[in-house]
Amino acid sequence: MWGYLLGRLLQALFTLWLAATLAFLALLLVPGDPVQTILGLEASPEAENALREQLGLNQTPPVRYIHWLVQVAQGNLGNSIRYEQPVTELIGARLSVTLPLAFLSLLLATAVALPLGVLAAKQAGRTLDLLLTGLALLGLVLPSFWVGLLLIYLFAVHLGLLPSGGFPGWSSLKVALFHLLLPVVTVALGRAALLTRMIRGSLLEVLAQDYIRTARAKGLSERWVVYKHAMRNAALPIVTVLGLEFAQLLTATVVVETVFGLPGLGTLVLTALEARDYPLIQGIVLVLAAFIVALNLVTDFLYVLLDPRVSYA
Amino acid sequence: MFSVRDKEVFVKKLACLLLLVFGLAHAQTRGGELRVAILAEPPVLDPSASTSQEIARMMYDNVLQGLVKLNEKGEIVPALAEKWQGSPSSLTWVFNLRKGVRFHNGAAFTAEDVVFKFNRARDPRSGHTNPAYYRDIASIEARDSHTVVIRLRQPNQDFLFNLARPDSVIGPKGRVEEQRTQPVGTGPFRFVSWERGVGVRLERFDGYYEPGLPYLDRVFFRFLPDPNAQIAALKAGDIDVIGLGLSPENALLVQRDSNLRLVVGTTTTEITVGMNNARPPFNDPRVRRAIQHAVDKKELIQGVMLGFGTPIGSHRSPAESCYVDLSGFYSYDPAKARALLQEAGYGAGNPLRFTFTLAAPYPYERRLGEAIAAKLQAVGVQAQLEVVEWATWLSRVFRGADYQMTIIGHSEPNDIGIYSNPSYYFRYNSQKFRDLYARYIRNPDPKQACESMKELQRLLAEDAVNLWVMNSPYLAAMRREVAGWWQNQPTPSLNLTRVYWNR
Repeated sequence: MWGYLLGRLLQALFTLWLAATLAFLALLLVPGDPVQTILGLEASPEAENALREQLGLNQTPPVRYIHWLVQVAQGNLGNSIRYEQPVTELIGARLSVTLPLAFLSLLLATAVALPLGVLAAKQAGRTLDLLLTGLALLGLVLPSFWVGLLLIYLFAVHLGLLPSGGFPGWSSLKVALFHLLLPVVTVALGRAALLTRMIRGSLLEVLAQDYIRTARAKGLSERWVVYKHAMRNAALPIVTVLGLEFAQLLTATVVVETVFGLPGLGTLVLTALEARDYPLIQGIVLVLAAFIVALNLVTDFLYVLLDPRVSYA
Repeated sequence: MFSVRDKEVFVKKLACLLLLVFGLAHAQTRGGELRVAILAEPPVLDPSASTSQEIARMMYDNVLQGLVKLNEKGEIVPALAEKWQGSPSSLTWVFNLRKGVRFHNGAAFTAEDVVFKFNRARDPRSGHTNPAYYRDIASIEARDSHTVVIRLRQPNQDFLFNLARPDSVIGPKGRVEEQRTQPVGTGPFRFVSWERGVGVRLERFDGYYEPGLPYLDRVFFRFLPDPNAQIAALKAGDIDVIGLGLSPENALLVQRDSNLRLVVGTTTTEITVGMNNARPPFNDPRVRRAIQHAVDKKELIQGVMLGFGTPIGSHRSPAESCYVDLSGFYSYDPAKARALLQEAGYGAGNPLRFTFTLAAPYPYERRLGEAIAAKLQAVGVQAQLEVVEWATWLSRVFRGADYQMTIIGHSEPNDIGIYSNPSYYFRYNSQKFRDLYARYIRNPDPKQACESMKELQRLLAEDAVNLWVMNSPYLAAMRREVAGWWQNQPTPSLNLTRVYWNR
């Protein structure tokens, strides 16, 4: 067990290093210069050179790379070029919006998709199933910026019930959740649609298996068969997808963040890329990679809990 | 019964009363908060630390001021300097500073602050933006606590204008690093906080030197990156003003809403189709002239900008001084365009082909570019459109001049001097222009300088260096009750000094 854990940890570290190195190399290939994006159109060459020197960008890429790696090893992601703030501070602040947004959206999506998916699977081929899968398809194809604007017009402009956007911070939980409600619904809609179809498909596959027929033949109630016997096995791929979805949502909420004016990680990624803010981009890639690696570890251990046949002895 | 005298007194009293009532009705009401949407978050808040225009929009004359400033009409008026002696021909300028002015942190404003500021500004190694504006300063000294003497190496026509730019704002002596994120100035508003990703808060500075100003108690600049979300927030009452970046489509929407008010004015932005004068095909002036004849600017403005914007014909905006209207210098004449192209060796068998590079972050420049390409197609020119994102545009087109044609808005005021630099991305190399520009900038006589400025504009049009499409409109939307907003943008500034709630 300990050997396995150590192995996984080393593997995780290698993955992180690889992700960080790839991010560094990719940025060398893209045209653009952070100094120009900071100083703008009319800046003089002297000013540009002075800033370049100050930022350490006059050094060769290998020197910058090693300097950065040493820094990261000491737990320091450096300073953002554009924001002139520690990268960790910036990412932390943005995660305080994006993590709850992603988590609540997935929670809502799952809460909606679970009963609907099960219902669709049980009614497979019938009118209700067609209606539900049709709706899910609609939820998938509706672009989130459009849904977001529609919700803003309905709930903020016409009904005046909810704020049209912005985020006042977490000083008041109630106010913060109030501001997150519409964004969460917008993100959840697309995710719920996807999950409904996933749950339906996964459950249908399991329901066709022999042990289900046996369970039914034993005379167990349909509810017992679906929730106790089928769901447990159908849950494995769904848990995997949820884990990946969560990691993806950390940056995929950028459209919703823009529409609702939320200071999230997605917009930070976009700004960092536009400004060629190397330390910030590399920092975000590293943090995201760490999240994905951690989520993978968690899902792997969840498998053990869900399926006793899996073990890492 | 009234006696004649009583009647006279009565009429006088009535007049006084009426005047008072009327006066009160028109008096600017004090107090309240104004929430203003801002499209992008700037990297810092000090205009002398970054050229991001969002900084000037929020800070210029609201929080930070210089010796002089630009007013709504684009005139240079006193700010921290009460008066000054000097002229474009002068090598010595004497500024008498306003007395009793305090910074927001309580420190007294003196000549020492000014000396520190401009010694830093003219040092190219200091990290100050645009040291070139201050290059002609030979020395700066404090004659006494409230008199500053600046000596120039050579006369500079734009010296005072440069002192009115956002770069020239003055903070407390020695305060440089902190100024980037917590600006301290002498303006009517005091900086309160900057919530990253959310917005910037200001509040009324009670110690402001102009009595009675400002009217508002608090200001919140909120970062709202999506133009459609801005309109929704304005309609929902979550913000009060969209101070910039209102699209023409949304402007029409605002016009139809009785709760909202649309402000239409001018900017200093010339939307410019840049041509690489050093590379084929645009190293041939006949080709550049053909392009001018092939495009109908009025139609473009109508079609893409829904009628908002003014056609121009050179690199200067109608709102700036010494402007000449050259928008008709080349008539819209497709036949003439074809003839010029033929003369240059292009025709049906050998059509003119080139790449037209568009910058992704500017949707209206992009649409104008697409419309221009369509107009060029009509005279047999094949412009291949290519969209690149901002950092690529900056390094490839602007810095490397590795392009053939592009389109961008040049928003800097009073910037015709860029054409005297042969390595600027237009790669316009004209000794005639450089001589003429020197005659303008070093001219001791303002009237003659103004004539030179007009000649400069004509020379650019004659050489057809670029295709200048239009002066960008200034479009702002606000709640009907918001009064005192600047009509024009002679410099980027969402100026709040005289803004009030009229309710």
